[in-house]
Amino acid sequence: MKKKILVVDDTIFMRAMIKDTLTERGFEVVGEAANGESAIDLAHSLKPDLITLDNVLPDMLGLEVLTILSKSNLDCKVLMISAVGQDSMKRKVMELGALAYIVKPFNTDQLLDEVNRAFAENAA
Amino acid sequence: MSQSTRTNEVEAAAQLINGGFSLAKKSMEQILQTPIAIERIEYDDQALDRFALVGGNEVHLLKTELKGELAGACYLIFANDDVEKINHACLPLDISSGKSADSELMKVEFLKEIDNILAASVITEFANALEILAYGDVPSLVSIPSSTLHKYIESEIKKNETVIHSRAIFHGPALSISPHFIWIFQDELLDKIKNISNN
Repeated sequence: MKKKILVVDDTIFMRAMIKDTLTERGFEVVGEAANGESAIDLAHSLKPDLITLDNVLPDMLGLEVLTILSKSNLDCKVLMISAVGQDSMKRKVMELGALAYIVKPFNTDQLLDEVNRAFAENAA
Repeated sequence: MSQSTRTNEVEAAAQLINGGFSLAKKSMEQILQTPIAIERIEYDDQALDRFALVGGNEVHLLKTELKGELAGACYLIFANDDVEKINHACLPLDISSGKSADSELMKVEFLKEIDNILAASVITEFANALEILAYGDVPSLVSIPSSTLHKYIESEIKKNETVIHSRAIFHGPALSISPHFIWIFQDELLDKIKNISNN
């Protein structure tokens, strides 16, 4: 069964890049969100196995989205993908339970490594 | 505050900006997959002349406002032909040559993503050094006549009561591009530098 992934980023360019990379490797991108509110709604309705989450969104920080999701009963992993690379932000995100924090610009191998690691851990 | 203390803080700010520009240069090389040289330039009227020389052409100006514990903004400025060269080098042909609404949207979003990443590179340098939480807001893009660019930047500097402004040009000889990168900070930056120096 294909793993379901929700892609969250404010730019369509980045969403398309991430989606293409993941679908080419057999993952199913079940939804896309361009802002935090939509991301939270889709996380609940689509119940993805993994969310790739941008940190700077038009309506809230990805950090806030992660905080809300971490308090819900959803069983999904979160991979933060953001240009914001400061140490304090990375620490907060990881403390909230994100699987990893990828700093843009990144290459597709980095993304696939982290996604594969997420599902490998799931299977273990 | 003594003048010498202020001078120290301005020098410290300049070092942080230099470090931030170096990170931004690396990010740009990674995005564009081409060597980039960075030229730091003093603030004067000459720096934006290149855009005036392209006549009545528009320039693409991406503005990112700082959020969190740091106030200021940055501006990434591309000449029209810079944008076309970058699009052809980095985007799939159907998008870079496409004229559809979808293709145009993708080109705009790609520029915003470049700006987002370069701005974040500089902010990261400041945030780590000053131990603060800061980030760039979602960037905005406007196209303005090149002849009005200097006046626009001047007005932004005045509007923000800026005490520090810094400018660099990224030279990408392989692509023959030279976008400008301008940063303005409000004087609270100097206070934060002073605070971290005192601790």
